[in-house]
Amino acid sequence: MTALDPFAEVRAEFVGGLARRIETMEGALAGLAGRFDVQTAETLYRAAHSLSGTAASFGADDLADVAGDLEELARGWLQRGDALADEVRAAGAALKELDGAVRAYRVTAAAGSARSPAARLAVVGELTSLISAAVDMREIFRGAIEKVQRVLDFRRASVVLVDESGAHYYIQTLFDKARGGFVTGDTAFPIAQGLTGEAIRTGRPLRVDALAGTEGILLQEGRRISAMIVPLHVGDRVIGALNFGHEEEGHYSEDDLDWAVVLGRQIETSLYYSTLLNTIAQQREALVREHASVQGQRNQLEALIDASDAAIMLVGSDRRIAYANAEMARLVGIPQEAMVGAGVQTVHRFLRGSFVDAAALVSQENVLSLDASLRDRVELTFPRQATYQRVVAPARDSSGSLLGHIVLYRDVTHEVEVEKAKTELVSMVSHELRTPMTSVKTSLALLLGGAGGALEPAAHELLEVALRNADRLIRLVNDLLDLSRLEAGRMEFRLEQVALEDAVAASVEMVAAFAESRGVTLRTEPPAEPQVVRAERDRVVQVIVNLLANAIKFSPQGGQVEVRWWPEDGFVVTEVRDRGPGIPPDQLKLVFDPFKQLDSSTTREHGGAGLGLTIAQRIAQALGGDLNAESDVGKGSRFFVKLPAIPSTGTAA
Amino acid sequence: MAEPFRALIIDDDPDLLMLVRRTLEFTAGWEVTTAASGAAGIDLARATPPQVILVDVMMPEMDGYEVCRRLKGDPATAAVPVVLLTARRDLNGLKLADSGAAGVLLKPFEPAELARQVRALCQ
Repeated sequence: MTALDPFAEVRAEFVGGLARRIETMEGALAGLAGRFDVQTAETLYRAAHSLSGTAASFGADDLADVAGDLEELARGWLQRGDALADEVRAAGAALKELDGAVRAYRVTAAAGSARSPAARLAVVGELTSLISAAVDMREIFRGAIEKVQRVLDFRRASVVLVDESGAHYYIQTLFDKARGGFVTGDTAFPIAQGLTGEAIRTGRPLRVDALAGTEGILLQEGRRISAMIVPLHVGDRVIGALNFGHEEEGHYSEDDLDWAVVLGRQIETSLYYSTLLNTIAQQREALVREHASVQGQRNQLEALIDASDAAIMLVGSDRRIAYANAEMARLVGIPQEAMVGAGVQTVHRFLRGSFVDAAALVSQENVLSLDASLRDRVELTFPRQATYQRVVAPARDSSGSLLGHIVLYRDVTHEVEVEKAKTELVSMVSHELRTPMTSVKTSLALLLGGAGGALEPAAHELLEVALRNADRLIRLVNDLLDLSRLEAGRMEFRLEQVALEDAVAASVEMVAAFAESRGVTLRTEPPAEPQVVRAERDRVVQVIVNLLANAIKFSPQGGQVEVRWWPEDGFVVTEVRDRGPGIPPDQLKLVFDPFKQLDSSTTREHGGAGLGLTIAQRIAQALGGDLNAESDVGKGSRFFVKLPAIPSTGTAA
Repeated sequence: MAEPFRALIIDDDPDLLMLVRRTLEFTAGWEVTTAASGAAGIDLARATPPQVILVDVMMPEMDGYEVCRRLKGDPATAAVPVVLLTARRDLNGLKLADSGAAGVLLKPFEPAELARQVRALCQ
């Protein structure tokens, strides 16, 4: 058997879900027959609406029609807020009819309506993925012919290519059912002769009902046969042709030819996109360069979009889909060819059922009607239960005016899982590290305290070194964990009203001993009015302590560190100022870079780890504020923490 | 002389059990008994209720939250304040609230401060 047909899967799912859909509608209708209520009517309306849309796209026209009638009825009820008894009866009859239509559709679907437009579109879609995955040209043509078999009848199908001289064409791939499959053929034919030659010369597809005699690859012994020849273009050059032959006269319809052309287009496009272009390009370098037109650039862009594993569509300002890749078509659940030109409303109607949270689609609708963007994560149930990263961004032309929007969905289920596993690992490691560190630290502290007996001065000194470094290790582990949680956006805050005066006092108390040991004085200058921020007290203290410790570290002996704070544009700014050596402008930004300080000799001299300022800045940002610095070499540095203020009127009570 | 303050420590890590005991004995002069599992600790607390119980959160079989919940559910031990010890910062807020603990101390703790912090939480 041939490879799995993704469309068949979708169709099977559609067929499989039909009974449930009808059940839903029957249930709703039974409810409405008893007593009218808007919610039940809406359930019926939605079910009918969704069925009519989906059925139409699967070519189940009868189903779509009846579902459409039901939808109409329910819409009327919703508008009027009432349902007449006659209408409910009519709806009941429609449901019975729908049941019949479902049965009929199931039979045809099961019997394999291989030549239905939907099946054909599916083959076209498959060709795209097949061809972009294949490397070898022969493999591409063989794969294409094998798939095309399912939707077009033929005795022979072949791909012929124009040779380097441009005067002959040769059979590249030939499939002959009577001879059991692919046969090799390397005969060359002059382009100047025959129907295939004509198609290649004129670049126009041909359909012949009764071809007599011995036309090239369609050679049949003295019988009249049917044939279709579709020239294959790259750029505006014909590189060969796709041929189909059937032993019956008049076998192919105009409809079949249309399909052959669509299939030919698909092969062309894929040829153009694929690395095979290089092979062809090498042979005809000059020509290709000549034809590298705007169209070419557009194709390349589309190729890029097609190659992406993300689902991408471009929505024009006319609210129609300008382009959608295969992945997006799969996500929406309709063929890629049906996407282009479709209204955004239609696409959203198909998407609606996939959204776990319907409001998430509403936000997309809103953004698409504005010059706005959206970046979030959404849960979808189709084509698989997964978490998607969603990006909706305005697209502009070179002059900056809005062309429409780019909509992108990328399956990030795996990333989300990895992130979760990483956080769990970090948390586990934190426990595993802290437990032995607790024992080490406690043992050392007890020994130093004399729990093990009196200590010689040398022993005391050595134990002090051990304890100091155990503390340093603990700080570093804590910092790393904080940073990892902040970077993953997983630091959780218990937001509360934090009085700055109180937070500053607590911070000053925590670094008082350190300041004293360095001979540095701390000066606090509160504003006239008490200031309150929306934050987490412990985190505010952590930020200010970091800044104070840093300022003390870099202050000269006998120096002074000042803290002041004031309201400013909806924020409260807290300034920590030192009179240290200052930071040169080129290094000022680096102080917030993780580990940047770790390799500098200044820090080693001052004995600090390099993560404190980074963490302080990330915390401030995560709280909706910011942290930045100003510095004058020789005069000292000033760090400013900005946190969202709570207006003083709210705190007066 | 007044009766010494009596504490019970429950932790599955024997090193830590010994160290916390010594710390509280040495820095605060408390009388400390220890148990290496939640079940043993609960039995001990029931037999001779101490004035405070320190319980490690992460223990096999019965975790600290559960130990605390059971102690609080038993009239014999319900009145004894329980302080949880943990190295994890991402505490389970629900379980914590449900446990009825007087408070949480994060590992690594400051040995010289431990007794004072425990007392502060029990007030």
